[in-house]
Amino acid sequence: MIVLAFYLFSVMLLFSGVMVITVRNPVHSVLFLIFAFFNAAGLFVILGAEFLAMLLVIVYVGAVAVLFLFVVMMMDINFRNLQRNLSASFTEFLRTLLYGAGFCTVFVVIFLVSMMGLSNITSYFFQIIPHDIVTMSVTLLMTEPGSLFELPLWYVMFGFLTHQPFSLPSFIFSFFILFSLWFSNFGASFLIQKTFIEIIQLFRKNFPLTWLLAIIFAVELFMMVRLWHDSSVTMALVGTSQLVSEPDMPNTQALGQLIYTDYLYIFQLSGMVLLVAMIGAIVLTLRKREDVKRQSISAQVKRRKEDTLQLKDVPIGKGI
Amino acid sequence: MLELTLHHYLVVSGLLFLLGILGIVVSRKNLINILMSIELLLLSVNLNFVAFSAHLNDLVGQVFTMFILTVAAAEAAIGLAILVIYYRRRGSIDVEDISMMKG
Repeated sequence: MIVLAFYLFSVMLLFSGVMVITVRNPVHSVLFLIFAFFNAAGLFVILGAEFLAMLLVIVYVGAVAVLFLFVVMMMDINFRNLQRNLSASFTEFLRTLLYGAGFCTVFVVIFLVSMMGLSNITSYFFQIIPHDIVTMSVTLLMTEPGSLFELPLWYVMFGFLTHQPFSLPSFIFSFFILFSLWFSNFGASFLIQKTFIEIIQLFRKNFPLTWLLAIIFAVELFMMVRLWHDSSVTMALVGTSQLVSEPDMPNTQALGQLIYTDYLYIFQLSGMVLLVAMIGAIVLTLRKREDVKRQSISAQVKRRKEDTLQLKDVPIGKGI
Repeated sequence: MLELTLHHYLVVSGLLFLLGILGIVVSRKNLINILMSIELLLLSVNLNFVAFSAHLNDLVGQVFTMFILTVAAAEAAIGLAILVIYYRRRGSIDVEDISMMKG
């Protein structure tokens, strides 16, 4: 159950991350960002960090993402211009591809080097891709029949990473799968001479993606509630010895005890950061309009009698 | 066999980080996409922190995740404010035009 939940959440997280950066319409992009935050909250719940999950949903989905949504909707962006046509964007696409490949390479190298620092270098290079998928699946199904539904998710997403702790070939393989999926979308759009957004629109017209997402969302909600009620799931990662705090203590309480004692100054500092950000945002976006008459209280209070009132002795019969 | 290890979370957050970097590089039209990609980057960092916190049985990782969330919220607010005033002055949020800002 918990592994299935992990794979569902992480697959949907990565999917919505891909959609955030590929969808042309910024409103859809923000909605996928919200979905990504929700899935990350699910992953936090699996890890036993319930307070952070709540924080993510309330603060991020409730405030930051809605702020994004407000700004996106407030701006009058011409979506027609955003949907670029294919021929004009060919060089741009190639450049993007090159950039992406370069970044991938750099990132993979950094990641692998840092991972190798954690463990023995030689063990990575002498591990081969797991011998036989079929026998492995069969033994898995024999031992645990309930894992029938989990198998496709495993093979689609991370290949064989679940059985190996970490190996270079499986990592490269999973990268290859993910990026071939991603590039094949673009390749298909080149073949049919349509842009990616048109492909998506066609797809959505034929198959209601929205309903699919809604169903997945409901399933995820159900899973989250189930995992939450399962009190045995506090720290779910393998290899944990015991909690620093007492095992029965809820996550929120433990976190609060830590924040309000050892990390009090940093906590106050983060409050100051938020205050400065609030004032900064207000100062940046506040504008003085010249064509509107407003009451200026400071000018009213500063006004003295001698500034505006003059007493003169007027001679009788002469005037001023 | 059916166990979650730290590597699962590391791979997911690594891929998410990669997606965020790709989003920053790819989006040449829209500044909002860059801001959202930064949010994705911070989310992957948070995932890393929480995974290590659960792995090492140390709650300090979650405390720092909270601070990262705070800073990310502040950053989003300031970034969107800058975006709004930029849009007010120029009428577009193209990434290419922003290089024209000087001083």
